Amino acid sequence: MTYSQSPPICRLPCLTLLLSCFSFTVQAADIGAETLVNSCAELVVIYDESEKKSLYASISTSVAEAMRAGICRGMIEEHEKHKGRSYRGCSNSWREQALIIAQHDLESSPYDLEELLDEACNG
Amino acid sequence: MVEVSANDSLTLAETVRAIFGIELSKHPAIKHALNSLIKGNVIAHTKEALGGGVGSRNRILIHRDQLNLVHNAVVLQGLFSDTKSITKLLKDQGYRFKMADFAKTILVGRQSIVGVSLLPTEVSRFLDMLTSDADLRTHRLPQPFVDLPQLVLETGTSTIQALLAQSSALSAGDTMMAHYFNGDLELAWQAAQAVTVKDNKLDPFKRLIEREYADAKEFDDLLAILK
Repeated sequence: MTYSQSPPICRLPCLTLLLSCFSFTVQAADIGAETLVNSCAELVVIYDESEKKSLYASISTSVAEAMRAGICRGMIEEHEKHKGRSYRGCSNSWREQALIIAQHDLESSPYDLEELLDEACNG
Repeated sequence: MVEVSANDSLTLAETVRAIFGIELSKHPAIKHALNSLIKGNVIAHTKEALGGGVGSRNRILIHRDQLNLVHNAVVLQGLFSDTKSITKLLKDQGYRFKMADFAKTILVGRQSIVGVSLLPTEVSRFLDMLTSDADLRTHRLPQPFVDLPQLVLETGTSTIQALLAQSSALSAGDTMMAHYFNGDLELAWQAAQAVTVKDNKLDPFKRLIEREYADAKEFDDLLAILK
C-alpha cells in the first residue's frame, strides 16, 4: 500500500513545474517592445516589396510575417487614436512611425512599448 | 570523403571549400544564398566575437553537422536560385514535394540544362531523394549536375531565368512552371491561361498557380486598402 501512495506525491513537483511552464507561455504571448520592433520591420519590408513589383509581396511574405506586420499597423493606429484625445494625432504617418520603430535599437536604448510608440508618433 | 579540420566548427568559406573545393569569395550568388540561410537560422551556427571589444564584428562558425545541409542548399540553389523557395522547401514537406514534381518535369529526359550537362543516374537519384522523407539536414542530395550551374551561368542569372531565355525550347506547361520557379506569379498565371490542353500532370500545378495568384492579388489589394 505504501508503494501505491508514492506516485501522487511524486507528481506534485512535476505539476508545479508544468504550471510554471504554463504561466511562462501566457507571459511570453504578451506583445512587448521587441515583438513590436520585429513586427514593424516586417511591415516596412512588406510595403517595400509590394512597391517593387505587383504580386511580389505575397510571394516573399510568410503567413507569420504577415501576421506580425498586422500587429505593428494595428498598434500604431490604436496608439494614435488613444493619444488623439490630448494630442492632435501624430506628426508622422503610420509608415514613418513603423520605420522609426523598426530601426530602433533596443540594446542601446531599451524603451518599453509605450515609449516606442510615443517616440514614433512625435518623431 | 571530405577532409576538414579537427575542429567542430568551420567558417562559411572553409565549409564551402571543404564540400565543393571552390572559393566562396569568387561566387557571390552562392555566398548571398548561404548568408540568407544563416541569417534565417536554417543553417545552425554560432557567433564568435572578433577582438572582443564592444561593437566588434562577429565571426560566423558553421557546425560540422551542417555540412550536408550546406551541400544540399547549394545544389538546390543551382536549380531554384531563390533563397525563399529553398528555405520553404527545407521546412515544409508539402512544398518540397511540389518543387520535386516541378524539378522532375524540367530535368527528366534532358541531357543538359542551360548548357550544364546532367548526369542521368544522379538526376533520378536526386529526384528520388527529393520526393522521399529523407531529412535534408542529414542526408546529402546526389548532385545531378556535372558542374554547379552557379559556376557556369553569368552572375545574377538563375538556371530558371536562363531556361526561360531559351523559351522556344519550352512547352507552354514548362514555361508556366519556369515563371513560377522564377518567382514571377503574373507571368506564371498568364502562361497557365495558355495551357489549354487537359494534362493530368500539369493540371494540379495550373490550379496551384491560379490559387497562389488569387491569394497574391488579394494581399496586394489589402495592402492598398490599408495604405
